[in-house]
Amino acid sequence: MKKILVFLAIITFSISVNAQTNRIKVPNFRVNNFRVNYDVAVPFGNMSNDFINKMSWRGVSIENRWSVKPQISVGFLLGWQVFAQRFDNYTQDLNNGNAAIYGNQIRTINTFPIQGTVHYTFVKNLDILPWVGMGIGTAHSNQVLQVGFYEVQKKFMSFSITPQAGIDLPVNKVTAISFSTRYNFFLHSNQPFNYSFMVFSVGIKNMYF
Amino acid sequence: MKELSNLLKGITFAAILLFSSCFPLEPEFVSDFDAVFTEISDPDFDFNNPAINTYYLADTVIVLTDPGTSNTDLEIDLRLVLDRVRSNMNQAGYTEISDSNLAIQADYLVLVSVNRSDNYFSTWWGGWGGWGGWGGWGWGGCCFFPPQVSTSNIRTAAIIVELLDGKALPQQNEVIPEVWYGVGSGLFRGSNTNLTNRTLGAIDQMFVQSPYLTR
Repeated sequence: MKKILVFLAIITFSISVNAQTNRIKVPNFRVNNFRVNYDVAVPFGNMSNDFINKMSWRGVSIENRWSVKPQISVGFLLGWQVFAQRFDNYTQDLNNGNAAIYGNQIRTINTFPIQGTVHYTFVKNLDILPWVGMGIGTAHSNQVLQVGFYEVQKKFMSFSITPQAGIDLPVNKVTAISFSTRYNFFLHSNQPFNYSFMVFSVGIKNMYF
Repeated sequence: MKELSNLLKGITFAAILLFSSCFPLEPEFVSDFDAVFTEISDPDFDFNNPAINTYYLADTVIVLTDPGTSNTDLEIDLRLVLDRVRSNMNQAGYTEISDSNLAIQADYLVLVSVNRSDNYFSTWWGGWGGWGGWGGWGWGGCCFFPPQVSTSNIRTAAIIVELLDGKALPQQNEVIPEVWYGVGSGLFRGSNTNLTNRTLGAIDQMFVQSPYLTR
């Protein structure tokens, strides 16, 4: 009798453990999911050398991903990143040195990427889900340089291409925390410099109810 | 599930607070509106020509104010302004011709003018669907009538230094070509000393950022 009780206890326990792991595993999630990310960004290249080299603490993006194959998903990303920096007592040469303006400069970039994405996950049966991906699309940017009463504003569209990688850590059945990094290239032919900046983002990933 | 949707609501709310401004940095201080602009107005003029050595400084500062303005007091001693232009020209390596009868021989004619202008704007509160204010998000105007209107003034000022090509002077009754000018502009705000210091500093800066003027 005692043996049977022990046997039952072991069976019950193992079933419940099994159920536990399944419950975590199933939702994480190569199934359809959406994400809300908080993004910080570090400018690189000519963008950093010529305009703003200060890190941006203001960024947000939303994403949607639909799984098309067990390890492949496609989706979209809408983002917003704000860069801003002051340059006090700065002399800016204009018009090939024929003109110059001096003053306290404020430079701002608001940029809005709109991208289609494709992602690949390396694993099928782990709770922790690492992935790599690529985003391709456009970006709308609003670049403002302000000195005194003067302001130069440029609005333009760019081609955007963004390799990215991240890892999703499950929290419960439907939610995961996502840590990821994206390298944004925003290319625009008619502007003096292209944008390139590294985004570090932490986000909440949720599956559809 | 409910907790999660609350969490998402919280995140959205925090995001709205965090991202409510597209322009996180804005001019804050009066000095943030100060700027000095210089430009070569005749790109073909040879500033390095060794024959250019002398200048004549017009002895009066031209005061430009809005038409109909009765109060033209600029609160700045204009002699200090002329003295500062003179010392900068001397420092740049030019020799002053102070006799007005000989002004015709000068290579550069230097003109100094100051300007003050009033920029009025109105702000509406309330009313039926009015636009809510100057330079930003306002109150969409829904709830009371008649609208409250307040008018404010931003008073701005500028100092302008011009170099004219003195060699073109003998051609009488013709416009003397300007070869270089500098404009220092800012808010007309602050104490007398503050206004004077900013004005004189702007004159210095015009010459600092135009190294091609130095002999």
